[in-house]
Amino acid sequence: MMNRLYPIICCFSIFTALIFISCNNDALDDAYDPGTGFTESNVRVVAIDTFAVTMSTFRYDSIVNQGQSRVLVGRYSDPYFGIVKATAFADFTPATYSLDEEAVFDSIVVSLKYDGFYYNDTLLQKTIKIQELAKEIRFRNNQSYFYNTSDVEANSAIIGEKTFYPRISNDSLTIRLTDAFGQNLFDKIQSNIVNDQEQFTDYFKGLKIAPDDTEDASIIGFNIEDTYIRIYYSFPDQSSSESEYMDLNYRSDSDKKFFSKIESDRNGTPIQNVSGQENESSSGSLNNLTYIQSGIGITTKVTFPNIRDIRYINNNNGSIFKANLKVKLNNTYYNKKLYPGDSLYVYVLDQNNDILTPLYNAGGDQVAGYIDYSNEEVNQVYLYVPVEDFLEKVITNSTYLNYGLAFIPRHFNSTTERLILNGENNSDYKSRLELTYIIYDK
Amino acid sequence: MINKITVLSLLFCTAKIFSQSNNQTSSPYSLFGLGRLNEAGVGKTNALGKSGIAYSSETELNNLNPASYAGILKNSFLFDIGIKGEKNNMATIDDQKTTTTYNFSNISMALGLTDKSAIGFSLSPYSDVGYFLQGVTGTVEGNTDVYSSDIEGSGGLNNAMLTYGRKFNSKLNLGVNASYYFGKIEETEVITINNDYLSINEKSYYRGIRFGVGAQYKVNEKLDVAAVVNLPVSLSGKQDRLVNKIVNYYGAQVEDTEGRDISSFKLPLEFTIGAKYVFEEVLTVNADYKHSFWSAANMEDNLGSFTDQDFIGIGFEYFRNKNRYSYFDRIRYRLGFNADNGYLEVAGARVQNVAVTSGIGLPLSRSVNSFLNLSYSYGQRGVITTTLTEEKYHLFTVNISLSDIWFKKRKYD
Repeated sequence: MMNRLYPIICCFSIFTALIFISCNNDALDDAYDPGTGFTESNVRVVAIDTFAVTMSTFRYDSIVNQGQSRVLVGRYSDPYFGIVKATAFADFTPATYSLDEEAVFDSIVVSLKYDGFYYNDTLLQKTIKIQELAKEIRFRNNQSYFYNTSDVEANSAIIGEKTFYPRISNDSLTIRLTDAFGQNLFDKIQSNIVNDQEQFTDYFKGLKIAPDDTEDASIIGFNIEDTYIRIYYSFPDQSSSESEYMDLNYRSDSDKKFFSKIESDRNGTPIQNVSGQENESSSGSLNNLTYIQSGIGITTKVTFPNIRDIRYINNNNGSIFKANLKVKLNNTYYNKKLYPGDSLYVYVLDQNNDILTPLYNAGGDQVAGYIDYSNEEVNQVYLYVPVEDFLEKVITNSTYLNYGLAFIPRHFNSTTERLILNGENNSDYKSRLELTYIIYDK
Repeated sequence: MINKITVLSLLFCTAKIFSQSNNQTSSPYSLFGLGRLNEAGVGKTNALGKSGIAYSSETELNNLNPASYAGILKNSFLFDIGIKGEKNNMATIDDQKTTTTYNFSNISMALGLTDKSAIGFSLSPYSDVGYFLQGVTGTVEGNTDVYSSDIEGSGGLNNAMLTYGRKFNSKLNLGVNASYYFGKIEETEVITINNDYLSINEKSYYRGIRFGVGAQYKVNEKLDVAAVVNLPVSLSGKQDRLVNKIVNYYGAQVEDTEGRDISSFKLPLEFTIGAKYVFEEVLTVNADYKHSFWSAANMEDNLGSFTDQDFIGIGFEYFRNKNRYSYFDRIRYRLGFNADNGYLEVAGARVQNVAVTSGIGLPLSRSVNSFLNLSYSYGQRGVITTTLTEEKYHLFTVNISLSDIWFKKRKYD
């Protein structure tokens, strides 16, 4: 009898199996709103903004002056950061050391290529003065970088000077150097006294490109890669009066010889006493403000002394979902000329304020704080810094208890961008840690 | 013999597919506990108001009472395989949705060992989880922000049951069964807080063995009474949990734990009594009452609570005479009704359930008791309140119930 039923079972089993494979999943296709109160989320979300934050300002004695192919030249007076001055130093060498014997020197210029960076007022007239370096540009003993404090002695004679209105959108700025300087260089090469770089350096060690010491205008960036000295010459016995030229470029090989000396006179400013890497000035001692200035090496440090108390929330059964440091930038302290950027990198500082590492997020990317200008018209500009990755380390790793965070503008060593931040007790807005804690293990 | 092997291997294959399936329901109520308990049983009881513990398994398998297996004749082999289709219409005060799901309802087989005893095995879904709730909102503690949450669940528990029934004497049948419950319930919640996201994926694995005993007593030729007790059991749980977040557009893992212990799920003590009475040899009436002691299980759920459940089911089966020659005269007609007051209490309201059932049993053979059983039930679960969902469902089941005599030399083939 089973013989007759067997085909039925067989068909039915196959049929059911097919139904399974095509198992209808309406439930997943379309969500259903059961109405409020039917159920609730399994997660508790707790917002806390009362964890203590301490903010302070300190200044590195010197910072590395390298990174971009930029040199800075200029001088201005900043009401909060003092007189800021940048001077460029660069060595230039020719590609070859031969000139036709018939050639006759015409003139010499230096062409400075604008790279687009400026700070403070570019509508004001500037003066650039150029001197010949008396000493070679060299690393100091045991150093392999130039610093913002580096300096090289120059001859007192001004071999080129130009007073001008900067036109950043223009291609470059050309300054004529003295014929005596040019003729001398020309002769050395033409007469084969100079045949290689070493001999050339004996006669020419580079230029110091400085602002006038009374200038209060702007600091401007020049791209050193496209900056050159050009010697024009001609052949008098030829009918064509077309000028020929020879260029001297910066050294693009490994032995790069250029830097910007960036200095500031902070006497009489609120931060005149901020000095030394390990001498932090609390925001309380600076009128509840903290300061950041690229180029000079002033930065803000933040620590979270009580963050480990987070374990008292729900008996430590939960985790930090998000933690943003929210810091106000009051528009009293910035304007279009003295502008803050739009992002800051975050670095981990040890107890001596040495930078240990950039702060990385869980995805391995460097953490950056961003400045939200969307409510600028009502003076609600805030810097948001995601710090949960740092807080996790402070909570789980006791050595991090002594560590803090430094906020550093993107081109900390090649601009003079500066910011003033509200401190943690500023009556205008107390900068704070906005932390979101999640409890999902009920 | 080849036929038996084929049947067994088919059974095994289908069971394998069955155990891999997901989303056998789409009821928001399956959010609670282990999900929604399986509505469909073996064979004809689907049409009899899901009741009938006093029915014998002599002609068709009855998994409601292990004692019924005592009625299986020696060398008799019974087999039941079923599928179900369900169309749900869910409604709240301000939303409505219809879904359709199809699935297995059971595979069962039994063999009469001696004149007095029989053994059986069955595989069936015990509970189904399938829901996708969108826009569940919560308030951030500490400020006034609101976050929203989408919760999706799938999976369910299966029941692999061994049953043994034995005649104690000519009037009394006794039976025991052991049910191995096992399965996975997966829940994923995705929370949106402003522009940040948190996703929590939890896969919970439960297992445990539950024992049941049953008795059937023949008062006279017309009246049978029966009782079933299912003992409470604690299903132990393990969970894999994966928590991820996207904050400030960066994804990060918060937790990845495997095999963490979670609190066990307790199934309550259940007690059923029932009776069956035959009128004029054409109409059989049965009635069951079941009480499930959920309160004593002392469990809590996210929002709902578990309360004792009362269930009543009534069934009517009509067939004219099994010896008639006309095919239509041998069809069995069934009607039933069941109601329960629910084991869930959501925000003070109980999720009650009422259903009417109907079905026919189409004979597949003249000489043995094999039927194609079709049933249709219409029911309503819950009511529309501010918090509850009303769910109206149409449940179709198709079962093939086969019976044959094994180990018997046939005179003719």
